[in-house]
Amino acid sequence: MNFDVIIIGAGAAGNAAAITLAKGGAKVLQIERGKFPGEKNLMGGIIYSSSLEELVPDFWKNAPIERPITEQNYWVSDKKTVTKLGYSDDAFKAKTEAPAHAYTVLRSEFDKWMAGEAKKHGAMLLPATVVLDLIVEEGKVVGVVTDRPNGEIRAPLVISGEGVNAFVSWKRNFGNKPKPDEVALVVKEVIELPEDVIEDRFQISANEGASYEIFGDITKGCLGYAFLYTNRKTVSIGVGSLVADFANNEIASYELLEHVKNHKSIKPFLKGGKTIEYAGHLIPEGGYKKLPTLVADGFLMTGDAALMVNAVHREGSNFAFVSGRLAGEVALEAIKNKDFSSNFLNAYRKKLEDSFILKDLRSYEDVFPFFRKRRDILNDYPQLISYAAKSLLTVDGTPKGKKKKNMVKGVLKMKSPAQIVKDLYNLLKVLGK
Amino acid sequence: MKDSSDKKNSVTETVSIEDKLFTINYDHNHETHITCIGDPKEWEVLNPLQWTCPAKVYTKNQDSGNLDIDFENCIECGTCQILCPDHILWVYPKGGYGIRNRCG
Repeated sequence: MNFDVIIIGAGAAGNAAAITLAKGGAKVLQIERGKFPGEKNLMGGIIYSSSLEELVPDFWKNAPIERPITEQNYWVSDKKTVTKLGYSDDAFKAKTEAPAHAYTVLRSEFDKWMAGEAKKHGAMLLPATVVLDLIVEEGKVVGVVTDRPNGEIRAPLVISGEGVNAFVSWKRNFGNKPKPDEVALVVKEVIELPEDVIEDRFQISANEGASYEIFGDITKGCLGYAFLYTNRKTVSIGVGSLVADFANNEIASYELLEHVKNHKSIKPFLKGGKTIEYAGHLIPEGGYKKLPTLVADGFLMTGDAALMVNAVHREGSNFAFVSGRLAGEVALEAIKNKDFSSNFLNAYRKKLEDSFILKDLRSYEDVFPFFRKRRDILNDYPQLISYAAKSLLTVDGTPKGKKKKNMVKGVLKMKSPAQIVKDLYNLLKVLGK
Repeated sequence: MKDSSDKKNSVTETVSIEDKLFTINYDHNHETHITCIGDPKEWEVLNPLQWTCPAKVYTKNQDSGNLDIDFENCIECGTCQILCPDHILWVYPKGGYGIRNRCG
């Protein structure tokens, strides 16, 4: 059988490309290493409706989504204290004939559904098959080598949706294996609780959900954060940090996860729950500076394989959906014009540049290097915030005027005014780009 | 060689990693997908894998002093080949085998 395009992977990016191409009438072969799409995949995880609607307009009617995220919480933890900030908005809720802003999903079911959408439009899926290499002839990618007997399959275009461990791309020097401080390890548990208990504890109704991201002391000095998301009948709890930090700080990720689960502000949410699955996954955080070759003759890279993640804003699945869709759109044009040269396919890079994807990656390019260099900011400032809150909120007979003065004095003892101004300036400089 | 139990930053563990791994659905073909490359004498550099691998695949054998690799624990994250690219050859298990996330 002849194919126009081979897509490596049936994750968020691969499925987005497959749906776009199959809808456009291309002959698509999608190769997935799991027995079913989704069974190798994992995220926190939240999807954003806008990026999925472009692929499956009424997805919320059939997709296995868990809960809309209508309330977002950010906590800063110090050794014994927590400072909490939350944002709840009815605008995030689903409306008649319109989805909510974002939903929690469990990727195993979700990816199976999404690959099914591609299949519905005519994409062919080859599961339980690992792609081992690309076939490259005269500098052009012309197919893949799989772990099946006589496993060569040819097509004039290959799209990589391999995910974070992009072995096939790395083998051909389309991108490099990331360094330990360019990739985060996230471990997570899915904990089962009755639906009404979840709604009571998180103070949400049936069509609402909440997300919590917790920074500071909770990660024991590792650069990263913990998270807690509500699903329908489960909650997802996890923690992530750079692989380098787990290694250098001699902290086991699964023990840090226990520390998170037993944190005094988190434990009450989980009480009586039963862990139904533990899992771990990597997130590529190299960012714009480390972007791989996105385009080559007969080859396009999408999603995690192409480092399309904005970790600061926990965004990855939307980057995967959009990059997969854009790769699919360019591939359809390439098929129509019978031109698979990198010259023609460069339209993909142009589309990425015009979209939020490369704009966001470029504007955040200095943020991770900044925090990697200045881990002290994530250690010292939570202490400072905690101290300030405690000084102001303790009622002990001290007049408020004196309290405020004491607070400022105490804060300035922890960090000099010059240092605070300098840190703020640098932070705003990298964030404001 | 340091054991994972004498790490300097041990945090309280209430659910063991063994119990966590017990919740995972695997389909094994009993063929290893993890190989150490190079001279075993240089494997000291692999020590951090004992606590960095999230599935406790790597443990020091108390009798032989060698590193044991329980590849059947592997949750296929790829941390080991990121951390020790020159010493660990980690590939995907054969198509259809390995972890099978029910939630993901």
